[in-house]
Amino acid sequence: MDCQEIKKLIPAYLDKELGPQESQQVREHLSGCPGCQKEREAFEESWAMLGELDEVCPEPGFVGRFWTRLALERSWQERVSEAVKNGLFNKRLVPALAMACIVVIVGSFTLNNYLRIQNTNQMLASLSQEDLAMVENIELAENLEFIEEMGFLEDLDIIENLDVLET
Amino acid sequence: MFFFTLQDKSNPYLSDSDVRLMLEFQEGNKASFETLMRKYFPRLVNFIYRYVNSREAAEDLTQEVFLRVYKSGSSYKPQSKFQTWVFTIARNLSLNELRRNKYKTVSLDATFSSDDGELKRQVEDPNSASPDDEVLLREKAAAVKAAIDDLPENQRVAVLLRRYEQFSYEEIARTMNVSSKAVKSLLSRARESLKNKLSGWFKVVS
Repeated sequence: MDCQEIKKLIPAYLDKELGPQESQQVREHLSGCPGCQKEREAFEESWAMLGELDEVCPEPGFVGRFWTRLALERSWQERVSEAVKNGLFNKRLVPALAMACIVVIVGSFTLNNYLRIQNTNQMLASLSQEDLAMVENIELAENLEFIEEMGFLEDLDIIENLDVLET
Repeated sequence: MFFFTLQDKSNPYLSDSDVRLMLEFQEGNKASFETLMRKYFPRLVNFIYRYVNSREAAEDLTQEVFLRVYKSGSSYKPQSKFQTWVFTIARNLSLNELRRNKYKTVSLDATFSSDDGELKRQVEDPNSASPDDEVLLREKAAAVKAAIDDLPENQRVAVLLRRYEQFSYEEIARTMNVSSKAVKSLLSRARESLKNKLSGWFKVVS
């Protein structure tokens, strides 16, 4: 290798980034070539000079400003999705969430049943004495079609199947 | 997924402690993310500052880097050392910023501002006698900065990563998405250029 080729390899040689063979060639050349040795020193000196460049010190509170910026940039969808990821899919919460689901389902059935009973009681309470007497005398009724036309009877549990009365 | 990845012995990057912190963050540990941020933000601010020549942009872009890291947490897969990945993001964002704003590079005889006011570059005659070594040192630093700024963009990145971040050629290649051979050539030309521009300052002040 001539001096021009060696000169191109000196930076990588100084960085120890040459293979063993190239490295050996450069080393041998440098040991016998004062001109390339001078080049090598100039490379080293200019590289060392780069250390003169001042470092900038980031403004205090960088991390705090980052979290604020993140909070401002995150859309509500991201927040919900993160809450779901961190909350609903957290294995430790699975038993608690399962129990909560059971409570909600059983509770909704119980509430529904309670409201139906309440409705029936309210309807019975709203019936006039005349209507009640009519209900009591249902067995005596001769005209079942007439009974079927009485709308309020449809809501009464007492008469579950009007067909029975026909027999 | 975390355990699967950890058990994947074929992935060489799992030996990188920063990659492991990132995987911990992926599992929901925000403290790991903050550890990474505290470790890297001073380096990134300096790297970006030297790259785009704007302190304000440097802080802003560094925050942007960590926003990208944070947002890609759920899909993160270790395919390089963490520092290579994070500096790749920083380089790409800085490049976009340079293209958008076309920051002017500084000429060697232009005036420049320092914390203590405005100084005049004296690169033309570095050996001119000055009673004040401190001023001379500042001028030397300004010459260094100007010499770096005058490098073509890809040479400048390679120099910044090698000189100030001690990246290997392989890491620089990954960060810049080029071959190691290309990095060797970039650094060779860059160092030749730096040597020529700074040789007038050798032995001036040490």
